[in-house]
Formats: sequence, structure tokens, C-alpha cells
Amino acid sequence: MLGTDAKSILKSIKALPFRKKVLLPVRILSDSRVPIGAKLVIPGLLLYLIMPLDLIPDFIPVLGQLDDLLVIILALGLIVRLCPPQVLHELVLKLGQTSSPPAQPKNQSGGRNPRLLKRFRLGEKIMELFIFGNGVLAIVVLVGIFGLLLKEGLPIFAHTPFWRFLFGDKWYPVSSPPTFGILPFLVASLMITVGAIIIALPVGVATAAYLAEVAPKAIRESVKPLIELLAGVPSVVIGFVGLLVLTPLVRNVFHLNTGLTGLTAAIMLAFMSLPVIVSVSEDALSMVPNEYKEASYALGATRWQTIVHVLIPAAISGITAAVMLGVGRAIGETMTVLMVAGGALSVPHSLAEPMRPMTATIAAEVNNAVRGGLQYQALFAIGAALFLITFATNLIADVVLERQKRRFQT
Amino acid sequence: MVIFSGEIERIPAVPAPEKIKLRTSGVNLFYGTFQALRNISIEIPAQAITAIIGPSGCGKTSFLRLFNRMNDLIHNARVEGSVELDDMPIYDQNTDVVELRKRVGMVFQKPNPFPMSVFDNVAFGPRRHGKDNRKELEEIVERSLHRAALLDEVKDKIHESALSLSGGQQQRLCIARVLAVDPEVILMDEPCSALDPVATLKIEDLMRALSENYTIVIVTHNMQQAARVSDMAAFLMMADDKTGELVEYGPTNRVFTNPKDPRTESYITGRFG
Repeated sequence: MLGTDAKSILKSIKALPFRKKVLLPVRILSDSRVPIGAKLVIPGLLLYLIMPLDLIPDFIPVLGQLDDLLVIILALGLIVRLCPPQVLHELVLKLGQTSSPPAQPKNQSGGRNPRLLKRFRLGEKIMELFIFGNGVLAIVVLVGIFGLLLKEGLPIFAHTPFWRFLFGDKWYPVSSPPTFGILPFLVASLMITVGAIIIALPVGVATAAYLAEVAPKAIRESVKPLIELLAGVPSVVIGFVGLLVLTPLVRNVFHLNTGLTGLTAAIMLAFMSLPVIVSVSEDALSMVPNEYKEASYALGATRWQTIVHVLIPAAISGITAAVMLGVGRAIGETMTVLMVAGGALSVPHSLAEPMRPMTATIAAEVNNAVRGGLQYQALFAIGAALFLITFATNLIADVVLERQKRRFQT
Repeated sequence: MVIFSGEIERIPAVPAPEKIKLRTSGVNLFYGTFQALRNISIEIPAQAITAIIGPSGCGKTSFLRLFNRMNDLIHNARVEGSVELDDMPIYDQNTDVVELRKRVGMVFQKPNPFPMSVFDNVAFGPRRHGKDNRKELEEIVERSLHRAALLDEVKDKIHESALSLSGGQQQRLCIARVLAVDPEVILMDEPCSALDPVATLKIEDLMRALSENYTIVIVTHNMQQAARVSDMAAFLMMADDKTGELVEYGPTNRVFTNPKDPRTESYITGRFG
């Protein structure tokens, strides 16, 4: 495939000492005559070498490095084919001749670059690539997870049409014939999450405002870490507390048949999302510029007015982020809701009824489901729906925040 | 080097025998163990501009913040002696700080409009003090912007973000925001230090116009500015262990042309500071 030109170039590249070989890509990248396609091969190669995703994983000794070697050789061949041969030849020759980088013609300005030519900075590019690679990795993982959920979950729609799956109110996975309608779980998840946030939001923001603006320094510095510690309590333990303490309380206060209800779960989830809401909101509130506060106080506003009309509006993006994190925690929480929500399979009409959210459904049934069977597929489809809901919540929050920000920027 | 001096109509700088608006006697201010002000006694006349000058760190701003109790916001600040507004004690257990700050407004060094619309900025004070009638608020906003010589410039963007205004406009907006609360005293903490000369001139003109109705106390680094706009001048001094000492106080003309204290003279003529 390679012409004689290319062969002789490859030979002269082989003849170069190792240090020069390393320098060659740099020269190629910084030469304006090299077409962009050939230049792109080099970062692509680096990316492959850096990224943990490999044809053969790197941690396998010898064999793991084989694919890297192969890719390097392939990339070299690609560059030789994409570059104009004269240019490449010249570059290789230049490297071979001088032991130092090609000497600049000396002039009055000493060793300076006399024509202010653009310079290639290797360290800069490597860092850029590394950061870029990490960003790509996060997206790859995200897409991978969603892909997996879809792959395992989508086949269920051959059995139950999409809309019937989403809005069907009967979930009988083991009857014959089985029916898969996830409306009860969808509604339960929604009710419990909204309920949890309705409880957690005012409490959380008020606590944050107290810590940020009212509490003396000593209290702030001791209470905040304590609240954050709460986030580390395992959800099973929280579930126990819910069972022992809250369940009888809810039953007696609301005169219900059972204390295992959506409301119980919502209260426990509110409790669990409080730490992140308080912590992130407090950070946002403390970061409001002092000038705003001073301006407000100097106009005769009281502390309460300053908090409500200046601090919270100025920190609203941070507070929204805090609430989104809280929602994420609440909607994804499994163990606690499994223990205290009651687990009823019918569509709930109020928070005071037993119900079973999506996460609890997956956790409760995944061990009994036959791998690859209909129930198994349906559970994965629930997972995909959960993923989409979380994704959409975050997306909406982002858009709202962006709009909010833009409204008051210069 | 006196910039723009010809363009400003000077009011005869003889202290009119008017009534005293603000009075301090024997005031000491401490931040923890650090003493920022020493035994300051001063009488500030009503409807006049009093400039407080002195080198950086001499306690000018601390002194200014005595009058609306903004030092309260600083942890471990402590005031000794008496500070009075119209013969009413400011540092008294029964003094309502909110009421005090309605009567004594403040403009800060850096323009600090809230990240809200122009309208909401000006209406902030009145709203906090219980005015929520839209019509009434609109009147107040318009009147305040007019008095702050800003109405013509922002007429068409009254509902746009205040942060879109220029620095000079933002500072006049902050003045309008103070005026909307209808204060008696306006404290200004180096209001022009972040502004260009043209914007500075506008603020100075505005101060002169406002001084007919309001008592203005201004902290400034700029000697020319003090000479241009003020009726009375107070020189605060900082020396080794003597931060915040009032060296000289009197009519601006006299302080600048015939200072009694050699330290004032050497500061004004630019030998230090």
C-alpha cells in the first residue's frame, strides 16, 4: 500500500534516536503545511493511550500493552499517508541534522521569536487533552449506563406497548398472562418525592439561612458538620428509625389503619435529603457578596427582610442546585421506601396510603425475576424510566437556572 | 491640580450658624482590643457637606459607620462615648436601628445595586418599610431617580437589570435608592473612588444639589474633591499607636488654606498620605 516515498520516510524515522522520535509529533502538529486530518490523529492516539477504555485492558501485563503498540503503529502509518511526503521528509531530515531544535536565524532581538509566530505548547495541549478526555469519559459512562438499561429493558415493549406500560395500573408480573403497568409506582415515586421536597425545602433553607446569617460563628462551625454527618447514616438505619418511631406516630396522628404509608416515606426522605440541602444552600447564602447585605441593612431592612429579599434571591441558583440534589437523593432512595412506604400495588390516591415507588419495586422483585424474562425486562424498563426522570429533572433545573442567571447579567 | 473647580458653584464656606445635626463626644471605637477611633468630639451641621479626610486606615470609614450603626454588623465592635442625631442618642438600648437607618442613609465605596431591576432597586427601601401600593411606589421611584439626576438616562430601562448601567449610573442609582427612603442624613463612603472623572463630577454636582435638603457626610481620599464640594472638613490621623485621632476640624476653606496643625498642612500639601 505504501509508496516508495513513504517507505523511505518510515526508514529515516526508524533511524532517529528515541528523543527525536518523541519530538516528531510535536513538529508535525506545529507545522502549518500538515493537513488538519493528519494532526487530529495525534491527539486521537494520545486519547486512546490515556483513556481506560481499551481493546485489551491495560492491567493485563504485556498483552494489555499490545493493543496500544498496535494503535501507535497504525497511527504512524496514517500520518505518513495523510502528510504531504515532502513536508514530512523535511521535518524528519531537520530532526536528524541538528541536535537542538532548528536554530532560529539570529538577529537583534536575541533568541526571541522575531516574527511573533504562533508557537506550539506541548504541556498546554496535554493538559487540555487530559481534561477533555475526562469530560468525555463521564459522558461515555452515562451513555453506557443508559444504553445498558435500554438494551435490557426495551424488549418488554414487544409484549406491552409503551403507553400501556407507562399508564397501565395493573402490575401482575407472575400471573398468566402477566400484565406490566407501572402507573402505581410512577405516581408513588412522584408523590413521595414531591412530599419529601415540600417538607425538606422550607426546613432546609431556613436552617441554612440561620446558619449563614443568624447563628454565631461557634454554632455555625459546630452544627454544620453535624448536619453533614447525617448524610452518612446508612439508609437501612434510617428505615429502622422510620419503622420504630415514625410509623406508629403517623398511624395515630392521622388515624390510619397502618403507619406504613407514602407520607411516612416522604418524611423519612425529607430527613435524608436535608443534609445536602442545608449544606449546599448554606454555602450559596454565605457566598452572597457582603455589599448586598450592607446595602440592605443600610436601607433600614431588618435581618429577616434582608434574608428573604436579598440573600435568598441572590443565592437562588445555589439553593435550586441544593434542592435538585435533594430531589435526586429522594427519587433514587430505595431501602428506606422499601421499608416504610407500605408496598401496595394499586395506584395511590393520597400520600396517606401505602404505596410502592419505582426504586422499591426494582429492589423487591429483581431477585425473583428470571434473567432475560419478561419481568426482568420490565424492571429494567422501570430503571430506564427512572433514569430519564432524573435526567429530565436536572435538565429542567439547568434551563431554569440559566434563564434566571441571564435575566440579571449585564 | 484642581480639576473642574471652575465649573462648580461654591457656597461660601463660612459655617452657617445652623443647627447641629450629628454630634459625637468622646467617642472611642474598638474592634476587639484594637482601637480604631480615639476620643472624637465633633459637631456636624445640618444641610451642609462635611468631608472626612485622612490617610488610608486612619478610621475614616469606621467613623462614618458610627452614624448609622453599621459597625454593629462587625463582630466584637464596641463603642464608647456618645453619638447623637438631633440630640437623640444613637447608641442607646432603646434606639431602633431600623428607624435610625431610615433617617441616616448610606452610599458605599463600590456601587452596589442589587441584582434586580432599576425599579426594584429604588423601591427596595420603601417596600421594606411597608409601602406596597404600586402607584405610590412608582411616584417614589420616579421622584428619587429625578433627584439623583438619573431619570433621563434610565427612563427607558427602568425594568431592566440595574447591573446593565454604567458605574457612574449605578452609583447614582444607589443614591436614588437611599433618597427613596427619605433620609435626613446621607453618609457617603468614598462614593467616587471607583468612578471616572466625568462620573465623579456628576456625583459631586449631585451632592451640592442634595446638600440643600440633606445633611451629607462624605469620606474621601481625594483632597481636591474635599476642597471642591465640602463646607466643613475633618482631618483624621493615623500615627504609630494613635489610629483614629481627630487632628483638625473646621470650615473647609480655613482647613485647606490656613491649617492650624502642622500635620494637617503636610498631609494636604502632599508630603505624606
